[in-house]
Amino acid sequence: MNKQFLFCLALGIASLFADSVFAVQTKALQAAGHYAAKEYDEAAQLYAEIIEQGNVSADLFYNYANTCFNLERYGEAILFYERALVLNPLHEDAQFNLDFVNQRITDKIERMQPFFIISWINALGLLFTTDEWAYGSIALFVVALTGCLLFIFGRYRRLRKAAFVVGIIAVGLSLCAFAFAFAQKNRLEAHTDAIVMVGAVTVKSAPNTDSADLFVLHEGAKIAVIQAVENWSEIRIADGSVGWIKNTSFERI
Amino acid sequence: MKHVIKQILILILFWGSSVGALADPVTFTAQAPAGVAEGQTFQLTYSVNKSADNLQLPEIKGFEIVAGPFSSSGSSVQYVNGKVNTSVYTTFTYTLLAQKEGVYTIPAATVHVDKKQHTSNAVTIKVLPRDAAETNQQGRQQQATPSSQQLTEDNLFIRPIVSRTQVYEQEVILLTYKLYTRVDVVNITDMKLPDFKKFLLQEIEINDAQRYGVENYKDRNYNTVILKQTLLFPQNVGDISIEPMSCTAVVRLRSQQRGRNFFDSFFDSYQDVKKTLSANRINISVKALPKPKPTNFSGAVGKFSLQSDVNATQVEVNSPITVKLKITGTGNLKLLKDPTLRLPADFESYEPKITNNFSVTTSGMSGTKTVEYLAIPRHSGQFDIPAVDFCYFDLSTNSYKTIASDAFTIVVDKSTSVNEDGVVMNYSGQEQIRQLGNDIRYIRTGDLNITQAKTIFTGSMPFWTGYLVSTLITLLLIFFFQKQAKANADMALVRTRRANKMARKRLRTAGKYLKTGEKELFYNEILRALWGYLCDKLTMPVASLNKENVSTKLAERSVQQPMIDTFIGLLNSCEFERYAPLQNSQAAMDRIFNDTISIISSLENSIKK
Repeated sequence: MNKQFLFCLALGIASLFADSVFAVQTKALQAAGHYAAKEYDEAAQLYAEIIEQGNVSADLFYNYANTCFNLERYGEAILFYERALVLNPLHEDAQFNLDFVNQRITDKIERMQPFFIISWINALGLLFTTDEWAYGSIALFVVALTGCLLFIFGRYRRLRKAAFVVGIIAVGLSLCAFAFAFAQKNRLEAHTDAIVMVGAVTVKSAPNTDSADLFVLHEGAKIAVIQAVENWSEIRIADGSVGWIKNTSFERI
Repeated sequence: MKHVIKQILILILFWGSSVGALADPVTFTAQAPAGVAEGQTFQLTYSVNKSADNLQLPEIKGFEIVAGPFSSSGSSVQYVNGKVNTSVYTTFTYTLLAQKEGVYTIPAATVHVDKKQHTSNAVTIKVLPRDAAETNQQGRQQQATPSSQQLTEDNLFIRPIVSRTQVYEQEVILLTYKLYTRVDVVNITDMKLPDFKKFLLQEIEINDAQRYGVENYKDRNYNTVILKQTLLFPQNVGDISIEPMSCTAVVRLRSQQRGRNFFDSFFDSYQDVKKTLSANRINISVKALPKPKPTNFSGAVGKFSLQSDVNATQVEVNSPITVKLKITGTGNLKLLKDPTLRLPADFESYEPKITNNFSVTTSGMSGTKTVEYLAIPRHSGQFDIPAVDFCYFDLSTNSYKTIASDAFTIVVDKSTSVNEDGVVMNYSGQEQIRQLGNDIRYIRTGDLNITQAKTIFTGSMPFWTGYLVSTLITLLLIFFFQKQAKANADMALVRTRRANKMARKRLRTAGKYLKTGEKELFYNEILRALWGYLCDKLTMPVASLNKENVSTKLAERSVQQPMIDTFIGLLNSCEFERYAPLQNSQAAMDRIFNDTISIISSLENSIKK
């Protein structure tokens, strides 16, 4: 009796899961059909429903962003291109379209080009996902430990020598992988960057409405959130200017 | 003879000229004033440019023939540059009385010219009601075209007439400045028109027939003159007022002085009087076009149609094609944006040729705008010329309408023509790929790899556990291996140690037997002590040792030969003494006991590990 019940439950969960996966796929296909027919409102609604169900995918975000762009919802489009790029930093189409949309928005903020070595290191870090780096780091650590064991207990001189060299290299690589894994994790989870979602917002010098106006940001501008006080956030834009805006005027990536 | 020829020539000339006169088409026209007042007489005149007879008048409704027909005819001969022009005319005149107010048409009349029947035009006459002022005065003034003696506001004024005062932006308004007069106006001077700042202006050309008329206005009959007629296209939104226009009229008045002398009663004297007139201000309210305006709105307001036309849909490379877009309609044609045709980028295309064929009438501006594109396909293939959308504001439905032209597919074949030099026309120069436009890239189709959001492994509990577990395993292994190695090292030591210990133990037992004098047991113990010691020392099993290989095994352990000999000698003497029934056995036992101790201690020192 008990066994039978468990079996039924497992079957139910499995079918439910399969069902939802199937439903999501169907919805995505429907949305693509609407997009092709230039019925962007319908396409946007379907994509938004899929995303609301907690589904993630760089391509899904990319498609939704494209739809938003065609509806001239540039802020949302930029937000979702950025989200797609967080998930897959090498998403070429998303990068292209993001650059394209960024030319359409009001604010033109000069982005500082990082030093080339730093950008190289960043590019290296993007070769694998954070989890891949993490598994790699652990695997290399195990290799290093094995080298260590061989070095201590090896019967022959030559073996011990080789084990030493391999061990040292493995430790180094493991540390690098460890660093990359955390760098990637930080990029995924930091949510420090945000996109202005309202038409225009005045950046204040302090977290209250009475303070002085510093500058105005428009929809689609990318900002970094430094700290938050109640419903105000201190933000920094790419050229280094800092100020306070209300939390309702932006959305974190 | 010569004389005769001359005469004939002259005859031919005259005959020719008369033939020329005959060859002139017959014109037979009816003429009457456009408007008369009720109860007024007027003249209806039929004129023919030939001698004619037998005028057949149609049935005339609404008019009474008071007199006529009076026919008159005449001829004139003109010599111009030696050429003779003879013209003949005949006129028939009727005097008609307008009986009742209304619009009447006098149908065509017929006349015979050289026994051929000709038909005149029909005439439309507007009969105005009786002049109110005149009826009061019992028709003292009989003419509807009076020349009153007083210059009053009623007798001479300008009235601005607009077709409508509530319009949409760009919707046409007809503005007419009309002079109403009951006096004899000789001339109009100093016409000052307002500046139509917020309008696009389009003058209407009017001929004399349109310019002059009669009209009953506020129960009075007036002669009217259209001073100015223009179409206005408002360019701004809001209430716009048009400044008054002004002009000076020169009026000829009959002199009031009478009877100065005898002749004055025969000859009226006239006086020219100048009077400045001005029209009223006009207010027009202009509505904005409804919002939102479509993005492709061309700015056209009115009613339009669009046609497109291509001269060929299948051409050879390098042979030009022309695509014509034709916008026909009524509205602000002058202001509409030219529709742009998107020709395939690979075509060599030129600036379009735009031809405007507009006509301006009182009902607005209508006509055709033709945009002609010339393009030369430079490569073969199939090319699409998309439809052109033209969006305008339709005034009949007050909504935006988009009309589209036809789309074309042009098939360009490879050129087969070889030009005269025998060179195949071919543009084979390499080209950079041209970027035609910018747009976002298309969405990703197919599998989007949609997954539920998952937790990140990095920094999670299993991640750290991975490091910890591997470290712990390694430490355990190190500990284990080290212990193992230590144990291995210890076993030899223990064994050698045990060798000494066992030997000592056996020697102690042997010592006991020595004291008690049990000879056999004593030797047994001594032998076991020696063999056991050696086995332990060499870490070899007892079974694999015998007297033969002992010396080689010991030699391997770098034990010196004399010592080996002593050891073997001792073994031999032990075995010998054990079974020999010797008298002095106690002394031998003592000696062997001591030798055994000394050999074991010396072996202990010399056997190397």
